[in-house]
Amino acid sequence: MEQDAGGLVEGALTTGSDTLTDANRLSPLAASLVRQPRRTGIWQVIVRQRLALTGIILVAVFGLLALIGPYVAPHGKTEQFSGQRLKPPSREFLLGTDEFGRDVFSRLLYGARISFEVGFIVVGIAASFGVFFGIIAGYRGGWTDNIISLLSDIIFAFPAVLLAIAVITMLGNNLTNAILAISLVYIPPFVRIVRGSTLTVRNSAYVEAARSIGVSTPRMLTRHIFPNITAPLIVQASIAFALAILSEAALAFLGLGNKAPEPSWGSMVSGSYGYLQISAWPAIAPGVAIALTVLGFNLLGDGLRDALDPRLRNS
Amino acid sequence: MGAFILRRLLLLIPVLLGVSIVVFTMIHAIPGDPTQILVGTDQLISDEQREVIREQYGLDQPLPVQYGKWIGRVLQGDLGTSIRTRRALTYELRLRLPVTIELTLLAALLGTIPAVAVGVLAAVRRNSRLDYFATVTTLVGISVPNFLLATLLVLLFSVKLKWLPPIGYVSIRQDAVQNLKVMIMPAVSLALPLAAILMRYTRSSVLEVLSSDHVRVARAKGLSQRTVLGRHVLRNASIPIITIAGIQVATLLGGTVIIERIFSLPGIGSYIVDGINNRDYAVVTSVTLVMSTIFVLVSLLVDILYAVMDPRLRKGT
Repeated sequence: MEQDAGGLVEGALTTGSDTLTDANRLSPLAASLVRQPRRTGIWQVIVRQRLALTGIILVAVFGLLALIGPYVAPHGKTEQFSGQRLKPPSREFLLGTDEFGRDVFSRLLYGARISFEVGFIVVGIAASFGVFFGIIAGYRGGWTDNIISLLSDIIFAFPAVLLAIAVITMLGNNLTNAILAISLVYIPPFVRIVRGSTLTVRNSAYVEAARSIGVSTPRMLTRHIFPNITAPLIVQASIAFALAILSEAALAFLGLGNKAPEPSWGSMVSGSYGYLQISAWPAIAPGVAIALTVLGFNLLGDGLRDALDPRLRNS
Repeated sequence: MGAFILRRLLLLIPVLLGVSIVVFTMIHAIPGDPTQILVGTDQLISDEQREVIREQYGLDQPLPVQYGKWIGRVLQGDLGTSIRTRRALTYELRLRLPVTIELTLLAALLGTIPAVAVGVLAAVRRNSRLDYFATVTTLVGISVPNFLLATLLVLLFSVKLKWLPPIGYVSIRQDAVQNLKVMIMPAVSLALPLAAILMRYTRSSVLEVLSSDHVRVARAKGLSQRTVLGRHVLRNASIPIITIAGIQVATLLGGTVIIERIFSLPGIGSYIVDGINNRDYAVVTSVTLVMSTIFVLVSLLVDILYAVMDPRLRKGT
């Protein structure tokens, strides 16, 4: 399946008859699972593509909120309305108010920006380091590979939340350090994926050809190897985006990273959790926002996986 | 198989060494004067006292020497003392570890058995309602943060229906029924992501085996569906399922930090958060060390189990 980056997303959505003939390509999310379906129901194809489409829509909607949220929010992010605490949704407060009388909807809009910033920065850092070390480990092999793999294994040896907590304890409790901590946690999966793909590409004929005409190692890695391992990388980036948002929310829920009045979705849930008996809106709404955004990126990741490379389906 | 297990055990050494170095670095990288951290950041101490502590803990020696001494103490079961309670951390952890272990085991139980059952059924009855239910559960399970699920459960079962208490830990020895009532919501919240991922892998793994030649042969011989599934499909599908289950059960440990916090369970997960809030850094580092060691050991056990189960590895390649 030769496709350029632009056609990839589109590929997930095409319902053309050509896709119907290739059983491996279609099977939807659930599908990820099927290697050799004996008969592929058209229903499955539709579901699968609908799921990918849902993912794109969710990501687009929340991405847009993150972009324009602060400009369209009806109230300030820390603006308090005394005497309006823990009110149910109304025309003035679309999702009700929280324990300080702040508008939950406005805070949700501001919070979207925090989540997306975290996602972008974490994926940027984790992918950069992951690609750098993964490609070197895969290409050089030998001791270089052993050392890089061992370092990855050591990071993997910590439960993710715990490692992030440890890093934040060392560096200090603020959002920047939380982002650094989460980035560190998600480097190893990138290293593993890039390393694995590099290993398969390394022995191909065109790499050998390039080597035989004396292409330098940096040029080899950037011009010949890297462009051929981008497919799994893009899928991993989408999934890592979802995980980064989840991790930031979890840390914020524990009071780590995000600082008090700032409206990170995780902090919003933990702040209002104690008031469930009076009003569930301020705790549930941001929680649902996290779930929908993460769902969007997961579906997008699955869709991209199908579109980019059917062989990746079971990895 | 012996060779595989031996190799795996050897790999354990550098990984555990690495983990201990990370934790040791963490102890020394914590901002502030280490003597101050040892006595507690809210205590005033004189320079003489500082000197005494420095000598007592060997803080005046080079770092590799300090590491050697520290790891020696850790191996003897001395993790230091909590600044807040002035009690040995080994003692503090022993009080709390059973809660975390019970929670993890309960979640592992709830997250594996139903997930595998549904996964198998979903694969056998592909495209049925159950299959779509499994697909949707998987999606929800990997996307819903565990603290949202916990919040929803509390809202339904504690606030609305008033069936289960939202907090108030009772140990299993005091009252087993009450203990279960307190533990069930935390365990379910913790188990969902595990169940989601496991269901997905079970389904895919069973589907793969179902479409293999030996299953077709078994069917052609006229064996009953039950025999085909039990003897030919599940046995082959179980190996990857066990691997994934093991990895996921190990990751449950990390999730306990949040879940114990929400439900005020006195395990080591909420202990580490208390440690951060009280600036009791010895608590943070010791819990990190203990949890990651358990994590590494569980992963090792899974790998060994894998080797025992897989006949291809049993031959000793």
